[in-house]
Amino acid sequence: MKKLWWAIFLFWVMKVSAGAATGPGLPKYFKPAPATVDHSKFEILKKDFKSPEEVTRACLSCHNKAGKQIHKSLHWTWTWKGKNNRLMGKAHVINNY
Amino acid sequence: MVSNWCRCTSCHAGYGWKDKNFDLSQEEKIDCLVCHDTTGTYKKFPTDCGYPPLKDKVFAGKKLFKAVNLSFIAQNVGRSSRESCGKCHFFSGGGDGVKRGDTDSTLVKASRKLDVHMDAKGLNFSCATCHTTLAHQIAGRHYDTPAPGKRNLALPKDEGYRLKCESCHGARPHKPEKGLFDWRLIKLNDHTDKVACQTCHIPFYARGKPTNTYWDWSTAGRFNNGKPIVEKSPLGPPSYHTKKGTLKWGRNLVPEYFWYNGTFSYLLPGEKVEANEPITLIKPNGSPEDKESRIYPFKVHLGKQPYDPQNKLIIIPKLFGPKGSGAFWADFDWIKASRAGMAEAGLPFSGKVSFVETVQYHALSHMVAPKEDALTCASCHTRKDGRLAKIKGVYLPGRDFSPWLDRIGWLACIFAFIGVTIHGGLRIVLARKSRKED
Amino acid sequence: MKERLYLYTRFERFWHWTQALLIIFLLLTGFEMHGTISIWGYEKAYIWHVYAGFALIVLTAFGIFWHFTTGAWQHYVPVKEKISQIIHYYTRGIFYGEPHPFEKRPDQKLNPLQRVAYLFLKVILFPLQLLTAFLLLFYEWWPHLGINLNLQQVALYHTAGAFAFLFFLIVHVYLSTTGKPWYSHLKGMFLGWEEIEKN
Repeated sequence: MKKLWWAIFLFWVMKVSAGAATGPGLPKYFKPAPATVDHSKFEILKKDFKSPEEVTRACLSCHNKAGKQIHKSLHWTWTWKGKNNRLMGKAHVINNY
Repeated sequence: MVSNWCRCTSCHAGYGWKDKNFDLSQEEKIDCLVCHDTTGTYKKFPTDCGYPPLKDKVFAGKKLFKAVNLSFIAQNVGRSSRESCGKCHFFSGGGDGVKRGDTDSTLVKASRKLDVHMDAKGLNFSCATCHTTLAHQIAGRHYDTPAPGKRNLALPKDEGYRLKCESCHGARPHKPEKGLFDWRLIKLNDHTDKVACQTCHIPFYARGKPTNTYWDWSTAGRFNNGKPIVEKSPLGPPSYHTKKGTLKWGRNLVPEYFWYNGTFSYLLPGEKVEANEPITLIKPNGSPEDKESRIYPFKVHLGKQPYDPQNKLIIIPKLFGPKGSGAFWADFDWIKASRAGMAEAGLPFSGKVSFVETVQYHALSHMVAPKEDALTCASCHTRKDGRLAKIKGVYLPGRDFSPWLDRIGWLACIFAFIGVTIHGGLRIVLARKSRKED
Repeated sequence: MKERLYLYTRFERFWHWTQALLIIFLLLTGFEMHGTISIWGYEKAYIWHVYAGFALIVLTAFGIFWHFTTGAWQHYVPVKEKISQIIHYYTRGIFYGEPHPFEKRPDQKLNPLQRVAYLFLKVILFPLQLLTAFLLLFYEWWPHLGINLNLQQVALYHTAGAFAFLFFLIVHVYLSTTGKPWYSHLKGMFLGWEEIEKN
């Protein structure tokens, strides 16, 4: 019985202290790091773009991994392979709107 | 979406997805600007397969889309914002707030009342604050795959995911403002094993713009002397629209509550379904026995849409296209639209169209209200008409009781009361009598 | 002939009346949470029920200590004598002014029926309510403590206990008026001194 009460007490202390660890006083952690780049200074972005594809090529000339990353993303594929290889994603599902 | 390409892909993060032959391996077709524009001047034209207007253009005879200044935008790229994500996500379902019920354009300049985290004068979260993004992979629930992260404080080992409420607030989120101990908060914290944060903290949905609650396609295609009809509902959006049918809208709606484990089940195109109405298209999975399930709030959306009674398939109609293509919004013929749509989707069509009631569910996670607006105990702990009146599989004090135990208990107490009343009455009467006899 | 006896010490009276108030308050707040009555609203009813429950536990702890240190626990040891006479008294004699077959004395304050009733209260009902109360209050901890019970069942036991307390309260309050004159027991419980008729 004594053991049980100790267990209850310890449990409570743990729960309370686990709670206290995340008190108020937010956002620093959530703020993105300050920018280290000013895109308006890049020569490559100063042209008169005729098509949006030109802009993309300019972006990718520096951000050379972004293209592959986007190609893997749901925002690009609109396809999600769900359980049992069921094809989902905006390109595949139905709704009632 | 299939067969309505250029209308739908106006929200694709790319350019030129105009049919099923779109080559998804082209890198220059990626639309960087839709997410990374910080000027607020970048827009995609609603029917141009994802392209922005390069000349001034008018949509639907009304709305002017100014030509975008690509150089200006390209020189001012930066992190995504509520506005950039919202360009598509606030307008899903074809208009502001139509589909989701918990995301609409009022979040761009959110008040504390509307969304305590996105409060423009307060915490001012962007979408990506919670939808943590690593190498362009944005965290979220993906169809039948639950959102990443545990229902606990997110630690460095959790790969930076902090999508869930608990990622920041922990599994025992309510903390006393002073002191260590508050019984009220301890009991509130005890709820987190069965009740999701959203259930109490999103007391009403569609608190910004009205959201669509019912969409009846079967009445679409009516004309008044050859002219399309648009009737406005009191809330603003149309209650009837020739292209869309009969629509119902709501604001400040009470969610419905279900057990939910973070995954959804989808009825996919081509999957046969009996016309037992309403047909469930998309539904949350979960049960009280499942340890991962908790009670969550949902927007329930009812629809009436075309169905092939012979093949037992939900029909994907072609809506958008030029005259003669079969597109409903050009030719206003459901059979032609169904034939064209199903052909493009590679599915059979019998030539028959009926309309069936359908239902789908949206989990509500956005527009978290400030704490003073959260539900109170009695919202659920009440005998009748509580928020969780229909929730099964959990003993809910205040709602649940054993009618038999109550009956026996009250009967015993009433008998006791009657018994002592008679006993006391007899004592008084007989005492008087004996006094008289004396 | 009447005799004035000091039956209830100061602590005993304090314990009795505080306990009475707490139990009545627990019944009210409890039945509010049960959904039967509505006075304060669920939230306040809940929090006050918990506070009152803890207050009752503290009081009971002192009560138990008092009972054992003073030997007052011996009042609850059941005895067989006179049970049938007492039943006869309450069903007949009382109406005709017969004297109570049991004579209250400082060393035997409770009649044999009271002994059984109060023993049941103390040994069965209080522990049942206390145990189920703690289980309900800390149901989150069950898995960690290896407790495998059904929440609904525990809640129903607690409700049943509440009904038993209410039943007891009704009968107990009524029986407190059966002295001579009717308020003499009550007066004794308030002041400690009771006038007892000597045969």
